[in-house]
Amino acid sequence: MLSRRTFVSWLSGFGAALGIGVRARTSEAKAKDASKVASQAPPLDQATVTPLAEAVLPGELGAGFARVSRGFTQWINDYRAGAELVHPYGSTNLQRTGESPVGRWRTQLAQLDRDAQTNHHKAFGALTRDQRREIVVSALGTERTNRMPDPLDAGHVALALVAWYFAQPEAANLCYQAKIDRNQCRPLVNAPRQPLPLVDGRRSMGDGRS
Amino acid sequence: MSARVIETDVCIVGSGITAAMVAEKLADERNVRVVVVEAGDDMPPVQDWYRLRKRFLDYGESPWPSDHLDDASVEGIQSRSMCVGGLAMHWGGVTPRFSPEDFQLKSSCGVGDDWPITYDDLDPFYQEAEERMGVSGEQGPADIDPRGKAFPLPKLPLSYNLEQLHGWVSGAGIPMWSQPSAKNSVPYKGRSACCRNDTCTPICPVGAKYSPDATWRTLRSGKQVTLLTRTLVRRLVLAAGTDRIEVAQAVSRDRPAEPIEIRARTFVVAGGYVWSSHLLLLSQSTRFPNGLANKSGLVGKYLTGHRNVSGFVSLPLKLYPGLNEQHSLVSKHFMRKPRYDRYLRHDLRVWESAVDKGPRLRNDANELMLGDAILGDWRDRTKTGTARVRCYYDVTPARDSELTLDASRKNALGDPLPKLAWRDAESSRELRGWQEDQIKALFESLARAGNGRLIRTASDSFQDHPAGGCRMGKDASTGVVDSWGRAFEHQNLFVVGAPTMVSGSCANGTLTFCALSLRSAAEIGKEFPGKRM
Repeated sequence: MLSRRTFVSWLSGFGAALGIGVRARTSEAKAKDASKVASQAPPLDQATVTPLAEAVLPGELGAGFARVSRGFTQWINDYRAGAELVHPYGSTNLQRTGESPVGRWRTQLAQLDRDAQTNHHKAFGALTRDQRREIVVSALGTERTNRMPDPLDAGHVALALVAWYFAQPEAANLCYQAKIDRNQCRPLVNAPRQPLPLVDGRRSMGDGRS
Repeated sequence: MSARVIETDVCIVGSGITAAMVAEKLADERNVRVVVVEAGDDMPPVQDWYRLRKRFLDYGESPWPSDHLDDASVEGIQSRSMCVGGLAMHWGGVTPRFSPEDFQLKSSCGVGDDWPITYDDLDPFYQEAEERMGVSGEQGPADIDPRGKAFPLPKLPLSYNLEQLHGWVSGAGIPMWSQPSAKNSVPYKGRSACCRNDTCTPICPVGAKYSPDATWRTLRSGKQVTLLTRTLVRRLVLAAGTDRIEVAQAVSRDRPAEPIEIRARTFVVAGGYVWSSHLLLLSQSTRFPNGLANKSGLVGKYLTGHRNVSGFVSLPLKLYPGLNEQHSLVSKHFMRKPRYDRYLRHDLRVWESAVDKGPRLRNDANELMLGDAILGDWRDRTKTGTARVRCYYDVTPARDSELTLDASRKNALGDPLPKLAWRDAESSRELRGWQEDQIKALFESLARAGNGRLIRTASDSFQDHPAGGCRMGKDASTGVVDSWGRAFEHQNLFVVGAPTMVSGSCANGTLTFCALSLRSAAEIGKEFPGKRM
């Protein structure tokens, strides 16, 4: 596993709070095989993710579900298996990213659709938000996750989407109703000021003017 | 095959932060030719850093791919970094000075050993290191944070969160201030000001944090300094019948069958706490069967550092995690003469934190939450804030806290690899439990002072900012090198930076590594004609 130094501040903050992006995911040998798998995997389609986002992400996103779904699919489609992970001070281990979860996620999305057909005779995307959520909760029935998982290691695409979204600076802004804009370039001179409230009360535009 | 011969005035082995300091000072002040030999590769240029940082944030990928040699691994604590710029390509940029007591531990505190220099001896070189790197800082109270001159750059401002936390610790009676850092608070030496991207470790995407590649870029554009990359120095060899080093024998990673000889008047080993001792031990000969500079048997001994105790404190303060997570408050309040009945000195740092305040999947009733429920739960739990607290405390090393050659593990060239074993002196072993309890008690008292709650603590066995292995001493019986880093047994051989430290203090070590290196460079430079300033 990654040792303390490199992620030390990040671990103390959102990284640890969210449990994301902080663990090595595979051994080097395994990752080399995974790289071949990933290169053959077709990308995840945003259209299949948006109905899920509408069901599992906060309603305050409003018209933002499609945008978030696009961000999520772009993120996972840009993933590279076999890439070297950061190796910090004091750690001799060299580790690499593991197999892309896209194939598994696509299967799970298809299963949600089949469950919707079975229960409601409609496609998953044609169901109401409550109906979709019911199907998702049922699918997550065997998940034992207590803390927010690393999206790449989440047992189900719904958890991956939730974990990924809540790790975004935008989600923190929404929670705090303030333009924190974590990890974005922000003038040093503004650091002592209390972050400004969100302009529209719903989401940050991420323009760096905290 | 005959060797390719390179002749120069000064040969520096390694291109990390201490090598950069030495090379730059020599080039600035002396008419001297310098060849720097680095086993690793160049790292990506600054224009690529935003892209590399994004992949780090998105996937945890290393922003410094290929920054190590696969066959240069070590048994024990080691950082896998062997590249142009070395480990300081992904350091945190935190630059406290040691305190005067660190240099006179035996005489002022009754533990460990005194260094052959004092804080006052090093003060001008601390200043020089701060100016060369660009350190933004705020001086603490002069009685606990002495310095000869002002910091070269204004302090990094405290974020809104740190201002709140400053009020908390001030109420507890502890003076704290903005952590001095090699991060530009204003543009400096062609590098931009910090803009709180907050990924200083492992990568500052704008180059506001000093890293040695900036120095190498400048030096390589001139004519005095040549940097050989992908070239591994395997041995230092003496001139026949003398104790002077004549040649650094090296091999190109691209043409391993072609040996390279670097001939110089002066050799500077700047390989950090692992590879410096390793090179001296590898450089065995008939006359020096235990390696160079090692008649006393001290090469590789007294590896040192500091351990830490950390904790998280829940406070009734509205904080906004993410404003500048890698910046902190610092105090030297506990670094000066011991404030406890038994020996304990430590620093204290305070950061903003999101621990215990992040979104979660299950509520207190263990019910799965999604969407609005997660957000609502998160909002409820972020009405108060969390502070991260940490103390480094110093550890007195045993003589056999050591680096040795491991005959069972060899690199691709057949050279034995290092093996590290960290051992406390008996006095430190006996004190450890009590010391860590005192620090945890301090965290408890801080929490109470803020009407808060200590969430958890952790003690780390890792010794941070590792150093030693070629410790300085007053003579050859107490050290490998003198206070200038010159080997007692070899007049033209210097070891610089971390390996020369006698003890590891209880604060981040890199600035001290650099100050010591600049002091060595001042001595090295005396053998070469000065430039008209």
